Amino acid sequence: MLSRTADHLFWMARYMERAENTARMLDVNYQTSLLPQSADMAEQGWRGLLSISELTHSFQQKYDTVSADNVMDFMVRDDANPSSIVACLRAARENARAVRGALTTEVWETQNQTWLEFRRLLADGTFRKDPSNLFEWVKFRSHLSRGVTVGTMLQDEALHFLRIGTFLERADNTARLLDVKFHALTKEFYGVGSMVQMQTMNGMTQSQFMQRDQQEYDFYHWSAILRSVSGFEVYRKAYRNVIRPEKVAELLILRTDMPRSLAACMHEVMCNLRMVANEQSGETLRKAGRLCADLQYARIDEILATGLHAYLTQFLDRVGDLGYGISHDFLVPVAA
Amino acid sequence: MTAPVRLQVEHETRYHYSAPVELAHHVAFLRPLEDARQQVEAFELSVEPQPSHQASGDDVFGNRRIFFSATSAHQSLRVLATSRVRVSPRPAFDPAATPPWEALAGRLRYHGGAPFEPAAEFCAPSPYVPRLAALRDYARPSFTAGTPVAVGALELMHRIHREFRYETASTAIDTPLQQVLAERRGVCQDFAHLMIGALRSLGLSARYVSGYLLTTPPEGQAPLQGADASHAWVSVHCPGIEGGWLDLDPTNDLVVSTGHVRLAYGRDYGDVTPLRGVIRGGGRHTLEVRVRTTRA
Amino acid sequence: MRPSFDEMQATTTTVRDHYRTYDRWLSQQPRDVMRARREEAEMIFRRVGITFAVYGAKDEDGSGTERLIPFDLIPRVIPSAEWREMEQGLRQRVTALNRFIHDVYHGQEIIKAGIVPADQVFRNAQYRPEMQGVDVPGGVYSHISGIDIVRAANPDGSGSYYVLEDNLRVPSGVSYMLENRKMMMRLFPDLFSAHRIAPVAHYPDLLLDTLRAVAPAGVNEPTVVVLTPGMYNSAYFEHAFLAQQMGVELVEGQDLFVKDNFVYMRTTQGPKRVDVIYRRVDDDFLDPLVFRPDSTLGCAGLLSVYRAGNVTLSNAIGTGVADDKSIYPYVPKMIEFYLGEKPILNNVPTWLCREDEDLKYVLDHLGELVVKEVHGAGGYGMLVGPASTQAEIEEFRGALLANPSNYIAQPTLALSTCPTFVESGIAPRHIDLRPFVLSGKTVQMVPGGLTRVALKEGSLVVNSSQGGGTKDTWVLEA
Repeated sequence: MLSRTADHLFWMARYMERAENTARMLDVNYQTSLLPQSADMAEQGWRGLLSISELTHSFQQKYDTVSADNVMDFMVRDDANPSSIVACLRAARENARAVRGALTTEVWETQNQTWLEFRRLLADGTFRKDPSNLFEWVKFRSHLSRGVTVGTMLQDEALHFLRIGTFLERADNTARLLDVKFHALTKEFYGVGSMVQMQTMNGMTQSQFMQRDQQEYDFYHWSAILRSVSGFEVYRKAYRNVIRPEKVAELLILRTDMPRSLAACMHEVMCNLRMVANEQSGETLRKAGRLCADLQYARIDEILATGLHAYLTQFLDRVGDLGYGISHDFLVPVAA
Repeated sequence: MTAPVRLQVEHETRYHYSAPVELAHHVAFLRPLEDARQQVEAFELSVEPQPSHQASGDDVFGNRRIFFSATSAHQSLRVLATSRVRVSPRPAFDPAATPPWEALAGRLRYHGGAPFEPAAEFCAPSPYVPRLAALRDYARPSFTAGTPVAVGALELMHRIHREFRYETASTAIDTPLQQVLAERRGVCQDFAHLMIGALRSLGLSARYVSGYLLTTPPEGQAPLQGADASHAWVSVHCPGIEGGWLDLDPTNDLVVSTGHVRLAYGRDYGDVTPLRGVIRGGGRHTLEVRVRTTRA
Repeated sequence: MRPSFDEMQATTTTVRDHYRTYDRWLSQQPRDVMRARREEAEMIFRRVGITFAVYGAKDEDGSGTERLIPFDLIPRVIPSAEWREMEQGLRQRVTALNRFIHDVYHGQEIIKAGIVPADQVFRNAQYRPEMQGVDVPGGVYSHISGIDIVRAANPDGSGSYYVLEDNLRVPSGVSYMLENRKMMMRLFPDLFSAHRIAPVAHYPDLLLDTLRAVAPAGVNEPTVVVLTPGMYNSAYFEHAFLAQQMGVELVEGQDLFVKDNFVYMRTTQGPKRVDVIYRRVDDDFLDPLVFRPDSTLGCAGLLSVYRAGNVTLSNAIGTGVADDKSIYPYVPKMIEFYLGEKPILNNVPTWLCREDEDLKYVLDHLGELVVKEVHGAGGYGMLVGPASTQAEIEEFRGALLANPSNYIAQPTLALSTCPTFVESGIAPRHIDLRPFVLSGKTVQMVPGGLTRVALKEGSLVVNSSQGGGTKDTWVLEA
C-alpha cells in the first residue's frame, strides 16, 4: 500500500492509544490524589505525570502552579498540548479522515463518533463533575476502536500497520508509566541495596519502610498502578499474593500473558512487522527481534539489579529508535 | 570588426545545502544556440555529483534543453558549463529601412482570415512581463507616428540606459515590473523585461535573450555591466533587418555583436532560466555563480 | 424567447410516450412517501460522505464545509432512439477533437488550411508548447471527455439537442451519476422492474479498460493510479470513489517520484513503477520543474518521463487548447476537416466578440444574449441578458468593450425543463446533460450521463458550485 496511507494508519492507531493511556494515567493520579496525603505528595504525583510525557516545560509556560485542576485541564482539553486527550483524539480522527478509503465504514465511523462525542462531553461539563467517568469513557472508546478494527478490517497491510502503531505506542506509554510511578513511589527503589532490604524486611524487622501507614499507602498506590493498566485482578490471579513491587514490575514488563506488558506489546509489534517486511527493513526487524528476545529471556531480578530506571530509560530509547526505523523503512520518514 | 570572433565561456554554478538532498531534478539552458551568426565549436557540461540520469533535447523555441537528475544524497551541487563559440559580426543595417511601427503592429494583430505571423507569438504578455499601461506610456515617446520600428527600438534602448540605474542585487527574481519602473533601477534581467514589456505594450514583438558578455571589453571601451554573470538582453522583431530580429542590450546601450554569446531565446526569463531545479531535502541553500567570458 | 421544451410534458395535459409509465407510477405515490424518500436519500448521501467541499466556507471546527449536492428524485428519461443518435454524434465529435489536438501539436494542418485562426491556438493560455512534437499512445489526448448537452425547443414544438460546451481537461461529475443510479435503485426498486433502463454501473470498468489500453507500449500489466490534489479539493470524493471502484491506488504528488526516467510511487514494499496516471490535477501543477514551480501537487521530472513515452497521462497535457470557448465555434469545421462528415450534433449559434461584425451584433442585442468570458468557468463572469437589469447590462457593456476578445455570445437558449421536486410540490426546472465519452483503443460510453438541474425557478445556471442539483438519467432500452 502507499507509504503515506500506511503512515496515516500507523499514527491514527498511535494517537488513539496515546489518548487511552493518558486517560489511564490521569485516572490513576486522580484516584490516588483522593487518598489522604500531604499537599506535597499530591503535587509530587501531578509533577510526576507531567514528567512521564516530558511536558513539564510546556506546562510551566502556561500555568503557574502544579495543581490537580491545572494539570487535568492541560492534559485533557488543552489544544496547544499535542499530548492532551483532545489533541490526540483530533489527530486520530484527522489521520483516519485522510485515509478513509483504506478503512472499513465501521472503523471510520467509530473514530469520527469518538471525536464528536468527546467534544460534546467536554462542552457539557461532564469532565468537571466526574473526571473518572470521562476517563473511563475514553478507555472504552479505545477498546471499541480496536475491536472494530480487528473485527472488520481485511487482514492485510492496513491492519498490520494499525497494530504496529497501537502496540508500539502502548509499549512506550507503559514503560513511561512504570518508570515514573516506581520512581515516585519508592524513591530509592532503583538500586541494588533497597531491593535486598525489602526482601529481608518482609515480616521481620521494622524499619522506616514498613511503617503501618506506609504499608497501607503503598497498597493503594500499587493497586492504582495495576488498575491503570487493567492489571489488578490479573495480578491476583497470576500471583495469589500480596502486592509486591518486584512482582508488579515482572508482570508489567516480562509476562507475555499480560496483554499490556512490554513483552506482550513487543511480541505483537514483531509479529506484525514480519508480515510487512520489505527489502530495506532488515535492520529494523533485527532490532525489533532483539528487543523482543531481551524481554523474552530476561529475569526480573536481573533487571532490578541493573536498576529499573536505567532499564526503562534504555527501553524507551530502543522503542523510539524502532519507531524512526519503521517510519523510514515503510512510511513517511520522520525528521530525526 | 569584420572577422568572426572566437569566445570561450566558463559558467560555474555551486549550490551548498544545509541538509542532504535525497532527490534532485534540474533543467538547464546552458548550451549556446547555433545559427548563421553563431557556431558552437565545443561544449561540455560537467555536474558533480555525477547525475544518475541526463537527457537533452530542443524546446519549442529551438533552444537546447538539458535535464539531469541525481538520486544519491548530496550536500552540494556543482555545474560547470564550458563552451567555445564562433560569433560573426552582424552586417551593417539601416534602422530607417524597417517598417513604420504602427504598420508592423497592425500586421501582428489578429485579423480573421489573415495569414499567421509567427513573430506574433512574442507580442503576448508572459509570466514575467505583464501588460501595464505604465509601460505603454513609457514607450510612447520613442515611437512617434511613422517611426520605423528599429529606430524606435534603438531610441527606447538609449532612454532606458540613460534613465535607469544598474544596481547589483537591487532586485530579486520575482521583483514585479511595476516596481522596477517606479524605482528606475534593476539588473540586466529587469532591463530586458522592461524593454520587452514596453515594446509589447505597443503591439510589437520582442523576445528575451539569455547569454554571456565578453568580460574584457576591447581597447578604450568602458568595462561592461553584466560580465562575470550570465547576462540578458532583448531581441526585437524588425522586418528589413537580416534575420528579421535585432538584438539590443539596454543594460549597456549596445547593439549586440561579437562581444555577446547567445544562449537561448524565450518569451522571458522563465523560459530560459540557465539552471533551475526541484529538490527533496536540502534545508536552506546558498548559491554561488561564476562566469568568465574571454577571447579564445 | 421561445418557451422551453419540457422533457416530460408534451402539453399541459399530455405526457410524452417515454414518460408515461413513470407518470402513472408517480401519480400513485403519496406525497409524504416521496418526502420520506428524499430525506432518506439525503441521510445516506451524508453518511457515506458523497459531498463536495465549498471553497472558502468553514465550519466551527475549522474544517472545510462539505455540502451535499442536492439530488432530485424525478429522473430525466431519454428514449433509446434519441440516445443512439446522440451517441453517434458524441463519438464523432470527440474523435474530431482528438484529431484536432494531435494536429495542433504536430503538423498543424487545420491552421495552415486557414480554418482555425493560428493565434486562437498559440496564444491560448492552455496551449502547452512543451507538448509540441510529443507522441502520445494512439494519438489520443482526451481520454475522458465531458460534453455538455442541452435541448432547446424548435418552432414546431419539438426539441433539438445542442452541444453547449466541451470539457476535455479534468471533467468531473461521473461519481454523482453512478451514486444517483445506486440511490434510485435502492429507493425505488419497483420503478426498475417497471422500466427497462440501460445500466451505467460498468463505467469504472470501461474507464479502467480505457486507461489500460493507453499504457506505454510494451507494458503488459500496466499499473494505473489516480492522482488527486488531496482531500481539500472539491471533487475529492469522486477521485477516491473512482480509484476504489477501479481497484487502483489513489495517490497525491508527494507519493510519486521520478527516477531514471520512470515514475514510481512510494509503497510499504518499496518503490513501484507507475505506467498510467489518471490525473485530476491541472496541467499547471503537474511538474514544478517545467510548469508552476511552487506546485506541490505534482511530481518533479514528470514531463520528461512523459515525453520519453515512459508514462501515460490521462487526459494528456495540453488538451485545454481544444475545450476553450474560443475554439468551440470551430468544432463543426473540425468534424468536416478531419472526418469528411457533417456534424450529427450541432453547436449552439455563437458570436465571437473578437470579430468586429460579431461584436457589433452582440452590442446591439445585449439584452437578449448570454455573454460569457472565454476563459471563465463554473458560471461565473457571465451576463444572462434577459435576466439582467438595465444597469447590469450597461456595466457589462463596459467590460465587454474594454476587452472584446475575452467574450463570446450565444442566444439565450431556453434549456429544456424537467419536473423537479421543489418546496411547493413539483415544478419544471431547467436541466442539461453531461455524457462521459471514453477514448482509448475505441470510443465507448455508458448510456446517459449526469443530468444537472438548476434548482432556482427560472435559473439557467446548473453548476453545483452555484446551487445546482442532479438527477438520475434514464436511457430506456428499446
